[in-house]
Amino acid sequence: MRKFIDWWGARPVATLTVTLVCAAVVPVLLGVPLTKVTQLLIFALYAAGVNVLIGYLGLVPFGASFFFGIAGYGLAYMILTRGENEIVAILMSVVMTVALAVVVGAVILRRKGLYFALLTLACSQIAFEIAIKWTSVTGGENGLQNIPRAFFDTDEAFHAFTLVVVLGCLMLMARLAHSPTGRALQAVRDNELRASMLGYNVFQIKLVGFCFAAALIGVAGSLIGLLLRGVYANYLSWQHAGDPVLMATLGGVQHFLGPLWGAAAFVLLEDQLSGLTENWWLMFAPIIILFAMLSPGGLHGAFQKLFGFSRRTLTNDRIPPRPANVEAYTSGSVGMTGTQPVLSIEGLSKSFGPVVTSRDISLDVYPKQLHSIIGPNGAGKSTFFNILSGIVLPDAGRIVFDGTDITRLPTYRRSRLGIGRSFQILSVFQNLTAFENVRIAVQASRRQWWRFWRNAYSDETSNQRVWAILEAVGLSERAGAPCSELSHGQKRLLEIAVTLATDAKLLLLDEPLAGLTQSDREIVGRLIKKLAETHAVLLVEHDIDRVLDLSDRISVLHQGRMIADGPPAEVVKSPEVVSAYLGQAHGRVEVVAPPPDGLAAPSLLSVKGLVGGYAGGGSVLQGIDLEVRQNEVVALLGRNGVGKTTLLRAIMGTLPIESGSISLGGRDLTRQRPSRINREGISIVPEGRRIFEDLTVATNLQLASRKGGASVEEIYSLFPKLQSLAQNKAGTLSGGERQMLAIARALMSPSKVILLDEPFEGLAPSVVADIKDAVAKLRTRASLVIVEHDAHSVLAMADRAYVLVNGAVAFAGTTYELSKDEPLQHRLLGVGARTAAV
Amino acid sequence: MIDVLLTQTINGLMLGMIYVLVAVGLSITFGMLGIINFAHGAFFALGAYIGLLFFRTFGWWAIWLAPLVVGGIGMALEKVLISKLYGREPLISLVVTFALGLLIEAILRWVFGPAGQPFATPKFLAGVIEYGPILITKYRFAVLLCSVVIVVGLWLFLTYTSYGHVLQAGSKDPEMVEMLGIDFPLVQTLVFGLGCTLAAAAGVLAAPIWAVIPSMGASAIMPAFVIVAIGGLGSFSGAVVSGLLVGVVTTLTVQFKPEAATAAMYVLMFLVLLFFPRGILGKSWERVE
Repeated sequence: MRKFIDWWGARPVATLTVTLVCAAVVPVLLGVPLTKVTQLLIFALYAAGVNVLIGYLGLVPFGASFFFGIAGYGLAYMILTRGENEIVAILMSVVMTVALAVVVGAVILRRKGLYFALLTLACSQIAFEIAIKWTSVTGGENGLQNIPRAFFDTDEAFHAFTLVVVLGCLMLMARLAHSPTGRALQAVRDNELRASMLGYNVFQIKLVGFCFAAALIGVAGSLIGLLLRGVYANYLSWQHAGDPVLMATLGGVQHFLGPLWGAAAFVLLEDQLSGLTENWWLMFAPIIILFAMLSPGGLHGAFQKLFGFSRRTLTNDRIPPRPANVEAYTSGSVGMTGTQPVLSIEGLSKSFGPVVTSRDISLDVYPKQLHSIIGPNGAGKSTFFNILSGIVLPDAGRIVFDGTDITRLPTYRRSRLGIGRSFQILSVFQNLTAFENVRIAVQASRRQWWRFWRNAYSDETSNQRVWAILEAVGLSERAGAPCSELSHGQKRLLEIAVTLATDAKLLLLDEPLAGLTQSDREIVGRLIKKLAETHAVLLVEHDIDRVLDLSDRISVLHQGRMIADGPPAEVVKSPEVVSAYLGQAHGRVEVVAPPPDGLAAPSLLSVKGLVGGYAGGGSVLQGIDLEVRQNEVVALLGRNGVGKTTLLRAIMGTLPIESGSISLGGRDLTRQRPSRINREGISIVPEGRRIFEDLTVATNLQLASRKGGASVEEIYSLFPKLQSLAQNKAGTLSGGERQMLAIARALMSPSKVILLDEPFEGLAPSVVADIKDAVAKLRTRASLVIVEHDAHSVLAMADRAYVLVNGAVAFAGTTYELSKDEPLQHRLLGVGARTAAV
Repeated sequence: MIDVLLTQTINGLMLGMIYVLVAVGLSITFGMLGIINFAHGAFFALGAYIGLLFFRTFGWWAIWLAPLVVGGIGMALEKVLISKLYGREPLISLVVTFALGLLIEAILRWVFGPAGQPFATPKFLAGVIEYGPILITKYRFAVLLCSVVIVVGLWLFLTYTSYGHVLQAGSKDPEMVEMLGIDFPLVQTLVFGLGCTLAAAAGVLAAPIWAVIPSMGASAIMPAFVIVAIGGLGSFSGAVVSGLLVGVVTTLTVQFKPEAATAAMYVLMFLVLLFFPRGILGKSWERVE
């Protein structure tokens, strides 16, 4: 049975023809009136047109009835006033509808989501009002009646005509779906930003899709006018505005034939149920609700599940076969010599208000080299990359790429010149196959998206290139899998493949190893090294060990300035780099040795084998064991990106946990709601403070207060500054004052463990002293877990420390031990490598 | 001319206040729950019908129970259905709430019949008030007063009570509110109930003036969307300002160019959204953009 369905699945047009003919014939044989079946066909076209917007473009129109209704009036005008026959009238009415679509689309397509839905609804209601009120032209409530059908007067003849027209239109739609245009629509739906970064003009694509949908809906609207021999305003009313959306959703918006099933269900159920009661929505609405909630794939999806499928079938997703001999992948950088820099950056500076993120950075990137950018927290690496790819414009400086000044060039132009960028947060097209992901990028670089009449897969040169790229990254085996089915590591490879597909000479890779397991890191690392043999590769990463291993050259950023630039061995020894990572107080902190039995306090918070915390796929935490005892302060250290904040959030219950356990005082808290976890006794002073800016200081404190926690008087005596600010809106507080508020807030409820995420971040040194005092006051009331990237600021106040590397615990012991072991500090927290002799 | 203008402006304010009651409920629901409730108008209708029922059974004083009953129905629906929509793709919540609205309308039609129900204004509010050039019925004036009281009361609640603070905080950072130990799903249920109660109160107030028919929800929900879109999704003051604006514009258009009255607010919304993509006082809501 599966093979039977599979065979049909591979031939959507044949399936369509057979299904439509059956739909046109079978109900009649079952006794349904012929005109009802004709109506079914027409509504199938209506819903299909709307699904071009919902399924293919990802826009939900609640007023597509605008085109449906207006097309009808256009038809009536053509026939009644101009005496045309059906065929000319339908054509003219469609032309009018598409013209309207261009105008309306130009205005409302700049909005998305809810606003788009509301604007389409507004259009349809304005049209409804005009139709109802402008009686002289539209016939008002009575509509325009007695429309003759010159050619197809009998019900049977018109039924056959409708079948032919609807079939023709749906075939056109199938053609569009498989063309470069249709596939570009889907890419825009899945990831508009990435599509535009690949070089697509997203607005134009949406407009084309919108007009095509309007044309289909216009045909349907004309046909219904012919069927009823009259045109009325009721299809434009509020009650009917949602009909096609409901039909498409019921049938399944992710499937090409979905709208057909939805329309059939709609028409047939209406026919059957209204025989039972005039109030047929009473039964139909619950059916719709049930289906929408339980089966997101609609009727078609439910049918698929019965046979064990779960594919989307908006297009025939079978990919072209892999050729016997795949050409080796050649990059666009053939011909670059190794002596000239491919990218030259001079004096780059950028500030956001008072915050200076880049200070006078100058750097050269050479081809056939792996050049990495590293730097401690807040160094300005992401801003730097954004300036290079054109998302942000610099305040001063010059960027020259391959001889061209690109400093102020828009993103898509840089992409066309040969700069490819991959993203830290995976930015692929989730619902397309791996093959299609790469192919859409190749198509972008060939600039052929407007060809809507040919099958996108018939372009052999493109296909060859796609296979070559997939082979180069190691994804040929998984080419036919939808992206959502790939593992996190494979998605990373795909991310790189998409970047390669744009014929890039220079690859900007933004944290390509984020969230990967150790074995995946090796695979992706090896690929990047291989790519560096043929391209120029510029890489931002936090995995220092791997970066030191792989790179030919390293540049170190710190507080917006470049403080080192050269081969790894040199950079590692630079004293500036060492102090940037390990802090100014490096080597000068006195940590008191703990008394021999001082750490025998009972265990309070216990984390075992914790795996979880998805970073857009993949698990950041790779099996963490951690313990916090009563009356102790634990420091949680590590370079940025290793998972410190993720661990705190997982403990607090705001991130999903894949496996492992968390318990407090023996009570299991794994996967509990954050509110429950807080009530059990864990509070958090989160990253970014997250105080409620519109509320006063007093209100912020009061929101958190609970029986057993500190009273307001106690808080004010501990933090007198807050008392003087009590009635001020929290949004007016300075950075240090906010921090104090967030800390005080944690005391308002009875907490056994308080988690502090980077409590000294972004504060001036004088303020830090105040906050350290505040934190010290906390420790008398609860155990503390302090996350810090600057180890030395907390080593003195903490009893024990955990150091994380790549999501796992690399050191667990007393702070005394850690403070005495310099090489260990370098290795885990600084830039020291096993290779460098420190 | 001036007295017509003044009278109609006052009438417009009254209409506007009814719209504000409905729109504020919709706006709060959106701000806290992140879903647009297409069934909101149905609660307006439910308020009118249940008010009618209570009036017939118990007399005038009982109609004020109607919004509370509808609030209860709303909370039950939230627990059973609406809460399952949070965080899912917007298409599903649009479709489900739309169908829910039509379902409630169908139930009303089934129970009460499709014809309009008579709902007379109470005798003690019959007659008109004259104040200089202004002429307004006592009932409309009472409606204006009542709705102002309700809206002001709501504002006081939001600004000065701790529940109100939770609502304000929750519309900005619900995760942090949870981390402070407050059970957010319960807050969400109460907020949905509050929104429904407000819509129902508007329905009770409007019943004697508008026709009580099963599809009366449509005449409330469409203006509510327009108002919320113009004023800005999630903005309380935006809903008040644009509600009054729409009320006055509609009433004045009825006076001078009646055919264009209903279309006028759509044109207004279109124009505002063109120049202020997020409404006049709106903020960015990435969830549904």
